Amino acid sequence: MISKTILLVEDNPSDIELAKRAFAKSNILNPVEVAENGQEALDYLFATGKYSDRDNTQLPALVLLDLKLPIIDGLEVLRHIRSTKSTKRLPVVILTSSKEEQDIAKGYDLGVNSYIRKPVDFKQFAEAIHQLGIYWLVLNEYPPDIKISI
Amino acid sequence: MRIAKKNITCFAGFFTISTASLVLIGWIGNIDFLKSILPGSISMKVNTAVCFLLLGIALVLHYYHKGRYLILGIAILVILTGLVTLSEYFIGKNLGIDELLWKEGKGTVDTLFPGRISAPAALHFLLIGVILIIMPYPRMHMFIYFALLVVVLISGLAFLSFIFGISYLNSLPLLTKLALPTTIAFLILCLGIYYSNTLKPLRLSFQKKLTAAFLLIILILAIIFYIYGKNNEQFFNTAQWVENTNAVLYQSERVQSALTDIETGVRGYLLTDNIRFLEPFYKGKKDIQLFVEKLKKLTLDNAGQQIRIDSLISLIDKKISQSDLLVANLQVKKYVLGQSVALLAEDKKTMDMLRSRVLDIQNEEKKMLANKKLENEVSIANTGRIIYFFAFVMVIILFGMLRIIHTNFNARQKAERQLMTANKELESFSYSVSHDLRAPLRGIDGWSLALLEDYGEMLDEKAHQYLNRVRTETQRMGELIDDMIKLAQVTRMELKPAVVKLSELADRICKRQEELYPERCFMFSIQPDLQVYADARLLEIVLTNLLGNACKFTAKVPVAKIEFGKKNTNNSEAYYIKDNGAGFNMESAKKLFGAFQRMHKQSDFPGTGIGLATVAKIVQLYKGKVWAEASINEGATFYFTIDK
Repeated sequence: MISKTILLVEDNPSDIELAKRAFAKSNILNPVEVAENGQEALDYLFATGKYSDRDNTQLPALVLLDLKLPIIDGLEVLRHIRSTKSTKRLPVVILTSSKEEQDIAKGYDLGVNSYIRKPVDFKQFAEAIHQLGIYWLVLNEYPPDIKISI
Repeated sequence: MRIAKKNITCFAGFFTISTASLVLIGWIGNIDFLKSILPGSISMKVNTAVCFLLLGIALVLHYYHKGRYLILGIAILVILTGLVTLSEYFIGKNLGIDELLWKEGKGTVDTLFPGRISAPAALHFLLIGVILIIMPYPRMHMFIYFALLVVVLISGLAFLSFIFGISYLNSLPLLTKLALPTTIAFLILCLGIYYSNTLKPLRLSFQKKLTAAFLLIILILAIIFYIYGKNNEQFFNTAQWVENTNAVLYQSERVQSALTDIETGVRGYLLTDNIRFLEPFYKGKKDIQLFVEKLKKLTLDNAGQQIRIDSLISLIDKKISQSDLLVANLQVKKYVLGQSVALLAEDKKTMDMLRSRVLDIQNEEKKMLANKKLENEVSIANTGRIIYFFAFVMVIILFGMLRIIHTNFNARQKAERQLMTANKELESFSYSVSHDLRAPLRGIDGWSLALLEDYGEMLDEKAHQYLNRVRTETQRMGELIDDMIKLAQVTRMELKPAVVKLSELADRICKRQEELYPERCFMFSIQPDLQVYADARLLEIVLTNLLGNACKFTAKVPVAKIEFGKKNTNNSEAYYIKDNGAGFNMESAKKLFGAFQRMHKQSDFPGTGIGLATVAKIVQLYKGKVWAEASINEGATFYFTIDK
């Protein structure tokens, strides 16, 4: 598998570790960049603040976005991504706890590519991550005009 | 404020006692103005005064929280007095209570039955007696208010008819012969009872308040119409009087002229001895009888006039006989001069008397007309005033209604705002539950599994078991949270009604269930072509829960038979889901639809106990009903209705 970066936007340390564990279990060896709140995620994508040294033309291959985040929440991050020209077509998958109808509806309204609910059962969670990896990192064709950081 | 209100009760008691005492002193000492206290009123009966005295004492005792049994005794005595008096009116017989205490002397004005309490007063005593007995029981207070209203309305109307000088209101059956001090005493007594601190304050719902105000307005309108009708009657009555008086005047003029005819006829004949002069005499003689008769008929309702007319008739007879004698004497030519002169003088005297009698009759009639006119004018003016008064009261009531509606509207708006805030809070609560409560569970499950995977070899069998148990419990907790959220979501879901093909939906759900339990044997029978107009998502939740339960609870039978259809029960069309599974005891069926209520052990049939609560909630949204029939090991049938 080519090592394309995955941006994991997640604030819960346990969830971060579990997600990393799930990636490892599924043999997804891509580098995982973690943003612990919405602001960090945006900083990473647009190479501002903490990430001002980063080359902002290099984008992750996939953004895994939690919704309940401190400072700037997930839907707000998504809105920014979709309203900025450079990141408009970036594949974003919402990976969150809730199955609230309003969240799902708003996510799709804002142009999310997929909505996945984290199951409590870790085995199911690992399976979901596995599928995600295969689909978005292997099967899926990337949109044009996006430079994927390799 | 509270102390002041309580004092009203005490004041009312003492007021009643002193009024009654004054009246009793009046009767004992035969002082007329004390019997009626207020000038122009009819006198208060001895029995009435005694009842008031007793009630006043009872009210004061009540105020000081003393002599409960004495109050009861007084109440019973007063009730008996009221009852016996009322039955006297009903059966029309004197039962001996009227003059039991006091023999009413001759010459008492305006009394139909000596010493008898008037019918409305008797009714009031009966009601107030009952009020005194039921005062300590708050559940009866509604009746107290009703009884007070009756007493106040009747006494109030009687009071108003005195104040406004409307005599005909007094002729209403319920107001007959209520003396003015009696009505005042009743009103004060009611006031005392109303402000008594044992009386639970009246709390009426919005609808009841409006209805009461509405009924009050209707009542006032009825009174106004009655008064108006009576007023018209009086106008008519005045007109009739004028007409009648004119007729009387006319007839008396004719009598007068007939008399003059008689006289001139006789005189002419006497002077000329010419028989032709007698013509007016004969005519007058003939006519006068007719005129007098008419006159008498016109004044039939007036005894004084009748007496006057009778004396007029005898004078006329005298005059005619005198005239006849004069004429007869001349005809036989045997009159003697002196005799004739005497006869003529006599005749003139009679004629003078006749003239003055006719004048008397006319004057009396004119005087009566003037009186009647004045009386009616006063009454009409009074009527105008009372109509203004009632119109004013009506306006006040209408303002009251407006205020009630306004207050209610404001309260409703406030409640709506509160409800909206509460709903928002609930929404954010359930949102945060669905996000935050599940995250740690994932951690527990994930790390337990990590422990098993990474250090499994170092752990013995028991440790494996324990860790697995941690995981199953965690997942159960996850399910519980999910189901709870679903239940909460159902209640605040926006309904999107559409035609839902129930049979197809059930079919889909059954297929899903079959996939869920591939090792089991199902026999589904689904009535085709069932459809309902409702929210598809909600109906899917209902059917998924009910069919899911049916599949779950048939796990221990070799072939699960599950049926879905519609049938008529209790006059309504109900959908049903029938299974041949474990069933349950009907005694505990009531708890079935409450949240977290379970009928089976977790180890027998797993579940969260929220599914049926969710179903009940949804059915409730559609104003339908849900119920179940079952017995242990013989399966269960769940019914639900959806109101279209």
